[in-house]
Amino acid sequence: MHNSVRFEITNQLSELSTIARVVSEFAAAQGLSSKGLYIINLVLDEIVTNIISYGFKDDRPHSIGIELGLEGPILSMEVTDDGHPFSIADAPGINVGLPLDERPIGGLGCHLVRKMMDEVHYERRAGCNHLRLTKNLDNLGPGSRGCSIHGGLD
Amino acid sequence: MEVTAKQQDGITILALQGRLDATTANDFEQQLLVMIHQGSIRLVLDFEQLDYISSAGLRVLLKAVKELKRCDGRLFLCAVKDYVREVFDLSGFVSFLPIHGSLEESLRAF
Repeated sequence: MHNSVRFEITNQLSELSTIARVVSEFAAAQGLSSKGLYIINLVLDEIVTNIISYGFKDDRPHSIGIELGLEGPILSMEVTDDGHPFSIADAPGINVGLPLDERPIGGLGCHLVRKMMDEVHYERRAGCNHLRLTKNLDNLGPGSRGCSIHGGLD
Repeated sequence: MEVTAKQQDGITILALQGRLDATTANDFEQQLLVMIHQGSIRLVLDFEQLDYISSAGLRVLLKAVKELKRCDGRLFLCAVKDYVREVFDLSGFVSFLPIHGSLEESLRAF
């Protein structure tokens, strides 16, 4: 079974509620668990919040494309934007083992995206950032499973 | 997001309802830091009705814990939904932000 949904939002944080609504409809239609729903919301939220907050230098409205797909247990997501080049796959990692005093305040969003997804693939194509992510939703158990990262600007 | 505050035995309990994300984190951060600066340094955040938290919310908690450490305060979380719990493990917050199963457990832990 393959099902997908594609939608666009503008670069405003208030659009997070649009993502929440579409993802919730998608999760309900596909019979996903609360955890599946949460992971999709969280990963898209982190990516899109990052794009909206740091991706554009001008004040013009920009559209951000989001595609969600489910094939069997494999969730795939793609986020496309025309902001300046940035790959969440290559963002500096954070050391979660640091004691409180040394923990930086930032960097958590990218860290969570990479930890929660099985694959994060970045491509810069025709002036746009294309971020493709996959996750096997059969492996939603707790724990610190690793993930592989491909591609990027390196 | 709705925040309901109450006091019990010198402990401030904040019950959060809804979504703690980039659109609500700034307001909540202000509210929390004002409370801490006004002397509410024994805090429990009740997450029973919190449906969603993103890294923007986690950052607020990290800032609050850092602030509280300076004034010998404590912050506990309780009743975190199962599906939300993993982000605390993945973030490494568990070492400085204790999470209890229920509000009663948090209150007993002070």
